[in-house]
Amino acid sequence: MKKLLLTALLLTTAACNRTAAPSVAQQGQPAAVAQAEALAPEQLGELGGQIRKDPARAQQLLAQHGLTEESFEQAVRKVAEDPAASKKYADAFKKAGV
Amino acid sequence: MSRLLMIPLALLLALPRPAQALETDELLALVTLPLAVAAVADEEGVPALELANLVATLNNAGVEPARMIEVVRYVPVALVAEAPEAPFVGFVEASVAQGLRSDALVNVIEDRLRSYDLPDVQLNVQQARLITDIREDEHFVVRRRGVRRTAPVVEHPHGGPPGQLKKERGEQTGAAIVHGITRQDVDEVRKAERKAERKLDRKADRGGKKLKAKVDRADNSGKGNGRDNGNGKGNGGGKKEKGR
Repeated sequence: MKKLLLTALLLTTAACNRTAAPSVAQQGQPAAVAQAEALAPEQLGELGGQIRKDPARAQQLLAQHGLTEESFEQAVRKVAEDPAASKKYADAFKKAGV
Repeated sequence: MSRLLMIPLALLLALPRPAQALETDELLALVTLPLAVAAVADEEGVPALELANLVATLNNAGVEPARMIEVVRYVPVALVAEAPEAPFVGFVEASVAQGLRSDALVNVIEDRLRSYDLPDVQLNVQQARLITDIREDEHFVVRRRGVRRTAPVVEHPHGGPPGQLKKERGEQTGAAIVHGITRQDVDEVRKAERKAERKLDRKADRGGKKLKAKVDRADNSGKGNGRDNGNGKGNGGGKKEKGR
């Protein structure tokens, strides 16, 4: 029974640590936005294609590029506002295997 | 003992999990949004600037990507069918200026598109459509069919129907309204034009009389006036006047 209690406490502690993670991510959010803006439409298109191909890995793929979902959304919406940039994005998206 | 076990477990379940900003469907719609824009931009007759303005307006109004894709795919239809006095993009911008956002804006756009002889328009979708080539899209067929707006245009961007101000002020041209020219100004210009014409006519008359006099004084001897100082034979003969 002690083991069970100990396991439950450990799980609780782990869960508490997990909740602390977003606050760290939020602190680094302006940096993520800047990172997203630094990405070219072609890079965003490639990333978009990879996400489309394997949506389960979306978080991992975004993190690899130093992006959050929010910063990625802002960057992709900005690309969509420019038809020429959208064409570059679309080409890279298709090359990524979709 | 079991109660002791339940407390940490309940705590574990009650703890907040990191919220995901986008659901998978939303994320998939987002990544395919620029594809729809690119496909529509490739279409002949779609002005890039208007398309860019539309997407920026929808972005600012917080429209979800899946619904933005639906709006964008109807753009070629809307731009062909739209009435020049009430353009589609202008309508969307005006709706946003009135405070409509997100789904409320999409509903208004949907109503507008229905007036283009497209009664089955459904913009409030949950799953995004993947558009890689607008020619493969069913609505491209509608566009080629040549849709025209069926509902009358109620909105008057300048405050009234065409010709209203001309009628009110008793002017004959729109330019008189736009450039601030009064009827009196136009009459004065016409008067000056008529005066100048009469002057020209009088000059022409005088010129004609002088010419006639010159012709009367002309040499009818039949001799040539070439390099030989008028000593040539002259083959014309010349028609001599009876009196001479």
